[in-house]
Amino acid sequence: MLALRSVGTNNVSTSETDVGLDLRAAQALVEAARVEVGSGAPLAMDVVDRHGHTLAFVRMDEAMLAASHTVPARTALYLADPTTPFVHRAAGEPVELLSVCRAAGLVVSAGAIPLSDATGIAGAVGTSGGRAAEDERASEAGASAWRRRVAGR
Amino acid sequence: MASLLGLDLATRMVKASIEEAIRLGVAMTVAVCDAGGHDLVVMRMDEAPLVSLSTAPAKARTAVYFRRPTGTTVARSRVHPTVYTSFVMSSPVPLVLSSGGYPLWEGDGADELAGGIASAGGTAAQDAVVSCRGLQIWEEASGGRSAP
Repeated sequence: MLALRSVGTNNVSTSETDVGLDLRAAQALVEAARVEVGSGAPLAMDVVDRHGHTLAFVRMDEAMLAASHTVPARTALYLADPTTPFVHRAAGEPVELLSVCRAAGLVVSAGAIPLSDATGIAGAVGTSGGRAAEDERASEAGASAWRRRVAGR
Repeated sequence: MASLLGLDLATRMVKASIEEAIRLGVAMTVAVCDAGGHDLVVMRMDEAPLVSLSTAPAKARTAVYFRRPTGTTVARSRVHPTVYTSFVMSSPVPLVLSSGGYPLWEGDGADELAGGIASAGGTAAQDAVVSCRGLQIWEEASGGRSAP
């Protein structure tokens, strides 16, 4: 696992400056997303590594069971792009996008975001089970937690 | 008669396409399959989006399965979405409805299907340009019909 170190000089401890996307980071991202959701719609959240393998998956109580079989984070990683534009395209080109989803095992779910570090794409975070805006808000909370980690804050 | 399309020619085609993608500055995957739709060569450039590794081979196969450029198949799928959705869902192997995949023809009448070539990871226009570079290699080797 890549363990990038923050360049800051006033870091307090190794654990806070180690921003490789590992289990600990993935859990922190999922927690940030869960806190953002608060008492809103129950969601499922996932974080994958740079190869698309799951690092963390959480399904909140009462989240729809369909959400436990979707892979929005992997979709963002495979597309190397946030999934919201992909979802918008799907509305206009449903058969084409369906064929891509089937070939690559992707899901049409808004809000998932690739996570980058100094070396490129390090993984992705995604959310499903809510309305598009709810999924987007929760995933963005996870992604901004990642950006803060990379920035060493 | 045995097809001209084998590992050697397929490799030259894919390499030529990859060089074209490098020239365009786009990270892509290029695939060539045989007349059965089975992969002969697949190359994924560094930094190519991972989805292209699934879609390029499936797109080459789609060109073979429908015996026409995938852009034509996309146009037909828009006229008959339910029919094409059923093709995509019921096929035992993935098919991809996206432009940039071409069938490879050979024989005196250029009417024998030899395989397919496709690229993925760029825009529709970039995928087409990159595939056509490999197609050009095929036509030089086979004396086949000109690029669409």
